Amino acid sequence: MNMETTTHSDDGLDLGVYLALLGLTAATLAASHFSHGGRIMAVALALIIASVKASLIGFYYMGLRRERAMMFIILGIGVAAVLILLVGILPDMTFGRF
Amino acid sequence: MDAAITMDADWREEDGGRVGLWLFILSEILLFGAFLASYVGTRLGNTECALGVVAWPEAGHLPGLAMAALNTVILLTSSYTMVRAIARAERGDRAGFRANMIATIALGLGFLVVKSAEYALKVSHGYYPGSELAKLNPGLSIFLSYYYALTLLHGLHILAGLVWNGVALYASGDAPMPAVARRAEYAGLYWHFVDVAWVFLFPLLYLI
Repeated sequence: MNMETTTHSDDGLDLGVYLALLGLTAATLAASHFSHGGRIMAVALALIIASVKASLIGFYYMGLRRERAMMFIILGIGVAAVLILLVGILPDMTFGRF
Repeated sequence: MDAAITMDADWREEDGGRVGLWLFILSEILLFGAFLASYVGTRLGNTECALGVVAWPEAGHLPGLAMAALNTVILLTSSYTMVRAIARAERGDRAGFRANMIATIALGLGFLVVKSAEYALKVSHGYYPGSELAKLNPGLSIFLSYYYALTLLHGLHILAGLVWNGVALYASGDAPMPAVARRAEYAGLYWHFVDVAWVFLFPLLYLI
């Protein structure tokens, strides 16, 4: 049984990612006050910032940056399924038949 | 190279555990994703609780938003302490691992305490499905149903994560450090996913 341990962490990088996540949280709050440009813009801005935060957590804290291609395939299936669900309802919304 | 995505075939025993965990996370992505897609679709198509306009009535909105923002900071901090716990375990520092894992658990409990206070605040303002206020405003009623369903679902995941973290902490007593590090890594993957779920819930439920 292989019991060896590999250290992947970098204390400085972990702290930097944490500070970036806090900064992006502040940006989310600030952006909500400047999003009078329309509903879609407000939603898009919120989702873009959330996606950046999620990517930082995924790549650095969950270790995706050094992960095998298999994990990206698994993750990709989930992201694609959610995008299909989100985009699939848009035509119905667009034509106002909700 | 540390940053490179590994494509070779030299799979080790612990890789199987990570694949299993990522498959589990896939099922969680589909669960939260389906709820969120339904939520976005409902609010896009419903003029009474339209997406892009803050759904909360003014009374009590700011204190509720402050609590949610505080919870965001708490969860992000708990993800940081979890990363530190895993790093300490990988370096064979048992005391460092335990201190950071205890901090992670304490922050998770703090999240639930703040969330409970937020629920109490909202109920005191009549913000729950079936209240007189909600009956007068069908759009608000729909929004509140999603709000409680999604935040309760997320709260259950926090609870499950706390149990997982607690088991990893308890089992670290005199276990070999490589085993402690592996358990911490698995618990950490789940905990970070719960954090990611909140990263999307926070703006969608409180800011737009």
